[in-house]
Amino acid sequence: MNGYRRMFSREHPGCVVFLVEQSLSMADGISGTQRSKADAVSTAVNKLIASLIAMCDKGEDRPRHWFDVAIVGYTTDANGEPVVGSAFGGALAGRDFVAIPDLAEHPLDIEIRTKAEPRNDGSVIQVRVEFPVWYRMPPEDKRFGTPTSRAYEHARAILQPWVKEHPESFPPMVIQMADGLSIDDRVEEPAVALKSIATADGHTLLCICDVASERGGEPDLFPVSEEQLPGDGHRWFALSSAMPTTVREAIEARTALPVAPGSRWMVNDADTVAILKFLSVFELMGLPWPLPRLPAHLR
Amino acid sequence: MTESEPPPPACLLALVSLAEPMSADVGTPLGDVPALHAARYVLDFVLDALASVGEATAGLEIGVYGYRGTPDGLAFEWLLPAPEPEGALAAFSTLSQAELPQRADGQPRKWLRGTEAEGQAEPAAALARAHRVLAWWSSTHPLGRPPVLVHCATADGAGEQSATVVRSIRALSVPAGPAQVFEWTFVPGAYAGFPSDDIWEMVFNPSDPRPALTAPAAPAFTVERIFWSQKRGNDPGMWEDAYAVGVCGSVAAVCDGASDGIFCRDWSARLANRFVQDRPVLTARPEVAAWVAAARKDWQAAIDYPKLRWSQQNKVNDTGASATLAGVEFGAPGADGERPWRATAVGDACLIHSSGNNWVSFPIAAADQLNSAPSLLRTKIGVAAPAAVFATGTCRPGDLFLLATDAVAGKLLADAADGNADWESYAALAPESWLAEFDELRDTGKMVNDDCTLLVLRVAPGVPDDRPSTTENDSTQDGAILTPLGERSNVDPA
Repeated sequence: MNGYRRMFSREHPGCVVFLVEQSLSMADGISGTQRSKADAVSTAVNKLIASLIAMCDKGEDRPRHWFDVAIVGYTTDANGEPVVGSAFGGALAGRDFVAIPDLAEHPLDIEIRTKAEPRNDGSVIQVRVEFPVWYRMPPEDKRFGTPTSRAYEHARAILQPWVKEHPESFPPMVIQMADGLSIDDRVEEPAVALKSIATADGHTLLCICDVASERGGEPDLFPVSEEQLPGDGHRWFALSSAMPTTVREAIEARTALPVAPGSRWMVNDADTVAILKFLSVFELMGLPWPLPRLPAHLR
Repeated sequence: MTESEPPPPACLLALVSLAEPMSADVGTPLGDVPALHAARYVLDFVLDALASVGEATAGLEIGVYGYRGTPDGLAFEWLLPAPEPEGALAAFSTLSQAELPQRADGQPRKWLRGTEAEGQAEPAAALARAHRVLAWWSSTHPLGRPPVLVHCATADGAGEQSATVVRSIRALSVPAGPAQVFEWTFVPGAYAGFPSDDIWEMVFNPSDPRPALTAPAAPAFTVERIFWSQKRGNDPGMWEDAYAVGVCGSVAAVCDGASDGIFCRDWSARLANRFVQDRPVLTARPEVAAWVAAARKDWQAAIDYPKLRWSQQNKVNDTGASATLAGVEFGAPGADGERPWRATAVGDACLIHSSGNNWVSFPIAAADQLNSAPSLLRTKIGVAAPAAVFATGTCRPGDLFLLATDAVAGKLLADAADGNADWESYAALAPESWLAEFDELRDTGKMVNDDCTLLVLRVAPGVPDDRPSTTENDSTQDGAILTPLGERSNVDPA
């Protein structure tokens, strides 16, 4: 797979589209725990947006405009009608894409959360940290079904003008956070259409994070084959993009995450830790492409 | 050294050409044998001898590589028993435990794996690999003996390029002295000798210690050119490289702020400026850590952390600023006008010293070595300090020194590899021409779109200096500095 080498810059900004499932099943515990999938996903999305902003912050007046970010929520209403659209709120409500400097300026809220921090003596203390929030799950009475194909169509519709405006950029990265697919939803065709949107640097990447409901299953991060994947795994495998070589090399060079030639950009049955691992790849994006590998004797 | 002290770390790296010309017979005390056999036999002999001296080899690390050119590029093969070590060098104490095939009685055991002589001779590429290994070893063993390279090859494929790499290896230095290279060059049909004693001497009786630099009374150089240019598409204020030149003309430095950091411009400028002010001797990691800690304190005060917005505080905590550094310092000239120089580098900012038709580069010997993640001086607390690497040498009036950040260094070294090493042209180049050339390279993708910085210094005529010598770390000589900070055009004619 050629391409996927363009560095993110103000001249050639990148594009991240979060596609977040908002169905009722997201209220269930993640991986058999008490914590809801909705909460785990919201936290992960907000954390990644904060990381993207920090990546673009060079210590100048405003962070640099290296990315446009969209958050698309998808569910149905009580009658089964798809509800798909921008999930931004507050000053950003209704906008499809928000540039990094505007995101930095307009979080929905800055929550105070606690974070465990190890100390030199081995103990762990809880420290209070500011946690900016851009995305919140809608209330449970607004969340019903899983119209995935409509979500793909919506993403395609907002990406078409974006690539026209940024024909030389690194292609859009669509990050889907979901816990399943409807059996009767014909998702394949809209997914292919979504992935056909391209810039000169490559086709749109559909990166899928399937959140686990059950306890005990091992998350499959960046699988190379659909054979062993339980549940909807084989369908996710078919929908997700193959990981570009440049991205795989970056992961190999800078992380211990399991990737191999042929890896799909997806995780199946992700628990909280696997979600963070999956999303941490996007935090490598601010480094120069392609990320060189450290020679063995310098690692 | 008292008897109870362990011997200092030492390093012996041998390169053996496996190319076809090594099958030609050469004369040895044991009769006429193919050059490859002669090389193997002598290295086996040296290794056997080392194995017999016990404690004296306690800190010795060894690597023996064979190389040949193939259609797929350079083949670089580990020739010793046991798997190839990650760092390209194995502790001799573990290596000497290996079961080895025997030769006849009284002859050395077979340490080196036998292999056919075939393929092309590509000494320059192989020597550049050796340069990288030795640079790394010398930076991580500041208390070690000067590292030793033995190169066994015919003259095939040798030329300007391989000679330059050998000179660059000889410039690498630890406090105990510069690296040593023994070139055993075979001539088919001619007597090749049996240089085991020469190799032994180099390992155990190394070169002279690195001399302390005596600050010169008059400027050691003039600044011929200072070129700098920010990434294409950025404003000049976003240039994150930096340079500094001591006003007394005996020290200069360039730094390259890493593009994934925050407040990197301030950090790289601070490091370059401090380098020419402090003249730090960054012998080992603790010295680097202490120097970085002092610079970090200034940086933290300058960025006013408590007043930063949340995204900046997060990034300062998680990533911070980082930069590479290459600095050069000059000593007072001797009676013959020659003066010593010492270069310090962390990461891949580069120095080129050109003298007549000869030149050396430091700490990188070939453009393809720039394609890796460099060591960095970082503001982040809790990250281990990198080790600096050093080069030393002497220079004559009129010599040129070029200090370049990585993108420019890559272009300079690639030009040199193509036979176009015209360093003198940079001393004469008009700033507009330089900018036009580098803009075009970056716009056409022939060069990474990166910040670019190049300092061109010319060594001044030497007036021998009768002053009493001062300490190596004399910080008063270069108190004032030129700094790139502030409003100015993005090209400075010097």
